[in-house]
Amino acid sequence: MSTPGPIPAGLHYRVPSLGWRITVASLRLIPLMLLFIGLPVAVLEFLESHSISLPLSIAVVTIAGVVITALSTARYIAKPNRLYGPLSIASSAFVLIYVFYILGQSTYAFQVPGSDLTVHLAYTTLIELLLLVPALALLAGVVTTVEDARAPRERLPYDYPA
Amino acid sequence: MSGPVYTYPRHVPPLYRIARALRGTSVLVLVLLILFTASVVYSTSQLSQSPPQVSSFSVGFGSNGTIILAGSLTLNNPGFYPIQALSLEARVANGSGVYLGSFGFGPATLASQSTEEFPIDLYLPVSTTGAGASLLVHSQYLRIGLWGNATFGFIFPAGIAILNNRSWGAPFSNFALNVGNASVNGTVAVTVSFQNQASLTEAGILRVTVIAANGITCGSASWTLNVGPGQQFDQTQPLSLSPGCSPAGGSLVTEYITPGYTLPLPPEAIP
Repeated sequence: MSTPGPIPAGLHYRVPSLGWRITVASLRLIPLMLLFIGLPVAVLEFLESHSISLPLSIAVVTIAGVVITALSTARYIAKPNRLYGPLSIASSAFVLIYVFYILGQSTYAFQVPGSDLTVHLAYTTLIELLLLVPALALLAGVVTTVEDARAPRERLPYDYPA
Repeated sequence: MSGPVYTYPRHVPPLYRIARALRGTSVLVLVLLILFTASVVYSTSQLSQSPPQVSSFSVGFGSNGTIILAGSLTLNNPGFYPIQALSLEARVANGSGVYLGSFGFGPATLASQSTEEFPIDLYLPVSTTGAGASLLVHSQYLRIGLWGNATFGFIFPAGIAILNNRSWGAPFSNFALNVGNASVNGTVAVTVSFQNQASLTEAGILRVTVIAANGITCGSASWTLNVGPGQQFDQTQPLSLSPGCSPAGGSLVTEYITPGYTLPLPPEAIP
């Protein structure tokens, strides 16, 4: 936890206590788990119930969702600390790897149940564009890590304005 | 929420600004991609409300010894985005899997909010030696493979493949020639029988020529046809043979002749 010394008059900021951050992080778990685990698994199960199996398995989606949720929660709790940058990098790097994994399976063919129709789909370009999202977040994590190393607590007034 | 209140200079640190801009751009890209993908999915789902219309095929004979299946495919794109690189290819094989013919079109672009009709003309060669010859005299199931490709929303290529069997009604189904014994006046009775199981009316001349084993033409006879779909044809005619010409061991060559084309039917050997 950062506790800077005397500072010239300017912006006011208030860093939430660790207990408060853990409480809020626990509450954030609900939408995060719904978004990264519940929704993808529900979509996969819905498609499988209609005899359409995507190349992504429910186990992979669940594990990836748990890791992303855990890293996001740890990142939130560590936001006032120096660990925030490295955790941001770790979180983005994991999402980057996850999206790369999906990229490898971005062509898909399935037979429409009860028909002679086979449909081939490719969403490679979309996934390639989607790689920009974790890549940019990873860069942001690197910049934050550098900032925290050069000037600790510099960002706190803007992250936690009073 | 608890914790002490601190103060800090008002100017925003450059590294903080860069990190915030990168995170903001990342979120913006994600939101734009989600909105774009949702709009493409919605736009493409509109296609299901106006599925492709395939007209009924008309069957005809071509002047170059082909059967022509002519139809059209009408596509409607009610979505926001054009359908690009649209192409379609079909291949037809007989019941044994022997390739008979194909057709294709494209690549074409179907603009958004538009309807377009694409011709489908399938030419099946029916030479007496090729695999297509059986189309004239044997009703059968044809294996039709249809492959289509298109790009939706600029970045989503998709393809379809349909493999199914379609029944084919032969225009001279169960075609049979029967040659009687030569009479003392040098004629033989030739009987032609078949059923028209195609959807067209056969109106023309059917000419049967007797070729001797040594290749000499012994004679010929003609029948005037006006056989509608589903009708049976069964007629006998005397055929005058050239003096000294023996049909035994030869063959019967049949042609279906109209003003527009002449179509050879599979030859038959004479015992």
